[in-house]
Amino acid sequence: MTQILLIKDLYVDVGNTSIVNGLNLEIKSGETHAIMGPNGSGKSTLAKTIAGHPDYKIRSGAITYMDQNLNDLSIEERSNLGIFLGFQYPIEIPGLSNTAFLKAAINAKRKYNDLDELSASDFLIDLKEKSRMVDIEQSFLSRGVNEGFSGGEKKRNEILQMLMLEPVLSILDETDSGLDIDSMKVVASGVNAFRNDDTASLIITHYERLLNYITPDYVHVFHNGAIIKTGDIQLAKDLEERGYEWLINP
Amino acid sequence: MANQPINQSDHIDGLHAFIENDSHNHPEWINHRRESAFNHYKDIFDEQLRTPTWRNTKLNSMIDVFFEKDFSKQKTTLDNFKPDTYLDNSVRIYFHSGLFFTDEDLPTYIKFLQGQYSEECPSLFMLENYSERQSIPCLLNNIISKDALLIETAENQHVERLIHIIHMPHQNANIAPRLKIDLSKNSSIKIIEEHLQSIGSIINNCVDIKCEENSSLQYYQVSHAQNDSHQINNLNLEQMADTDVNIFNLDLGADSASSLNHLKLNGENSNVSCSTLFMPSNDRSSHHNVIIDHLSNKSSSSVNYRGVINDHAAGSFFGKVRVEKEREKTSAFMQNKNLLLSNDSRISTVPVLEIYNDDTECSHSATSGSLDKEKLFYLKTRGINEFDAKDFLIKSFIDELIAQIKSRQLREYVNKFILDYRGN
Repeated sequence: MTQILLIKDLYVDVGNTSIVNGLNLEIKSGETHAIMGPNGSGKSTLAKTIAGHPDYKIRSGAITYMDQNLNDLSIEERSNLGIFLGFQYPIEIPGLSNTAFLKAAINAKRKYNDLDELSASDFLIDLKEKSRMVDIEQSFLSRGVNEGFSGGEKKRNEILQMLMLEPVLSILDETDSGLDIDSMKVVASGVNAFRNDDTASLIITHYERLLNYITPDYVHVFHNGAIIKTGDIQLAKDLEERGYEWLINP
Repeated sequence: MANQPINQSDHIDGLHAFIENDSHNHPEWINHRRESAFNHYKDIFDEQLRTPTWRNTKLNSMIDVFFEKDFSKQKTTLDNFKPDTYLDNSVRIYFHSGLFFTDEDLPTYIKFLQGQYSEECPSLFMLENYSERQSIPCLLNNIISKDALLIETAENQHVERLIHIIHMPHQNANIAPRLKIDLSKNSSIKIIEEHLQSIGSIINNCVDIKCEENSSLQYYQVSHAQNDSHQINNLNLEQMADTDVNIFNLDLGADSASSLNHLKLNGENSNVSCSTLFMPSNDRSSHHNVIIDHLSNKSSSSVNYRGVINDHAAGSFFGKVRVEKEREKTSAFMQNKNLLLSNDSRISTVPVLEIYNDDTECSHSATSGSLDKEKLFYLKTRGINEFDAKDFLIKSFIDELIAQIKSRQLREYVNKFILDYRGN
């Protein structure tokens, strides 16, 4: 197993507020990590910081992705090197079709990695197969990106993008929020299809229920921008039963 | 951006001198009507420049240029000046040096009115209408116009061929085309007017449309970009019952470009949709005004104007929907969205609803701002670089409006100009 992500003593500010406070985390290939925690604990900040959101400033510490300092990489470089962020609130872009968007994204990545553009037919075959995996109708693909999609459709569209882009590290920020049980199963099967010995996942969630379908190797509890406890799936079950209070104020 | 005071007496004197010097070219009745238009113009000029419709429009600069022109030097030849793009299977009509002409046999429903000006001629009503309207550009058009194009469908006539009207001014031309479209009952037609501007040209275009019961019109305008040129489009529309009209206007920017669309819904179940995309850049300006009068029950209107403003350019939108107290079950939707692509670009937007009846479904909205940072972030997290991400967002903003063009042929035609324009 090789190291994919290493976070050392990380502090992150948003404006004048410190959100992540001394975080340490290592993710290796083949691993699935889950981060759980109450609202405002800094989970989404961590996700956006790794993706490179300009409003999230690293005050100290470092994030290393496959031996490269993330701070040296632009948002698009991070993506093209294999980091994928599934958004908690996927953005709507009316006027830009899903298909055109996905094709541009895939070819941007291929160009960055010195590969030829994907042919239209190969792209469409891949798109058809993967959209079927996450139960997205073909008609949705010609619509604007997430335009008029329901909450569940948006989240499934995020997983479709993940499957198409074939990232190394997939960060899913509350992908399960707002999903009914059927949609959650679809999302989970998409994520499981992505898992292999060369990739890794970081799943941010409030609830244990998604983890019934995607079994993580590690479960971390986040509070005040740092990990206060690490365990396995049993920790998620304990949290579901007892809440966070027993860990925050033992 | 607002109009500055100008020396009124100079330009009024100049205009009067033009009418007198040109009077020997026309019969007395035309000169009489020109005088009448001039008198209206003189009376309303100051007041009109202060109205919301024209306040932000650089009419002064256009009028200044207007009076610098030496009309006697206007050329009368075509100078081999034709567009390099044509629409397949269209009836092509050109306007140059003040006259309409074509290189094919005209269908019976199209008439050029040159040489037919007489008091008995059907063209007469046009002059009367324009005088009554009391708008500065329309009155100016009335004073200098030499020709008019009449498109008149017969009852139950559905014209399959697209009518493509191409305005081709030469350098420093001052032209005043006028178009009258009369749709008889149960008829339909598609028309596109394309303005190929030249350096120093002033185009002051007047379009008058009447749609009788159960008729349908698709009307498009494309104004190409040109430095040191001025463009004004005046459109007056009256719709009777069960009519359907779609208007789309693409304005790629001139020194001063403006439009005034006055749409009157004068019959039950009359529907109009009016969309405009304006994209001024450099130091150009685009100013667009639309007034919709719901004069009948169960009429509906949809107005959608979008501006993409770059560099030091300025734009403005003024829209007003009026529904009188006795008009019931009307619906009106008005939206103006603007994208400011530089720190120095400017926009003014004023959507107004004047609704005096409760049984009406109305909404209006206006937004102006730069590219959405969260959308940019989203695209970049998918590997798309900054330049391409911005380009995608601008294109998606435009495409959302272009998608409203019903005709696929025209959608592609319009898209081509936008791509060329943005590529430059």
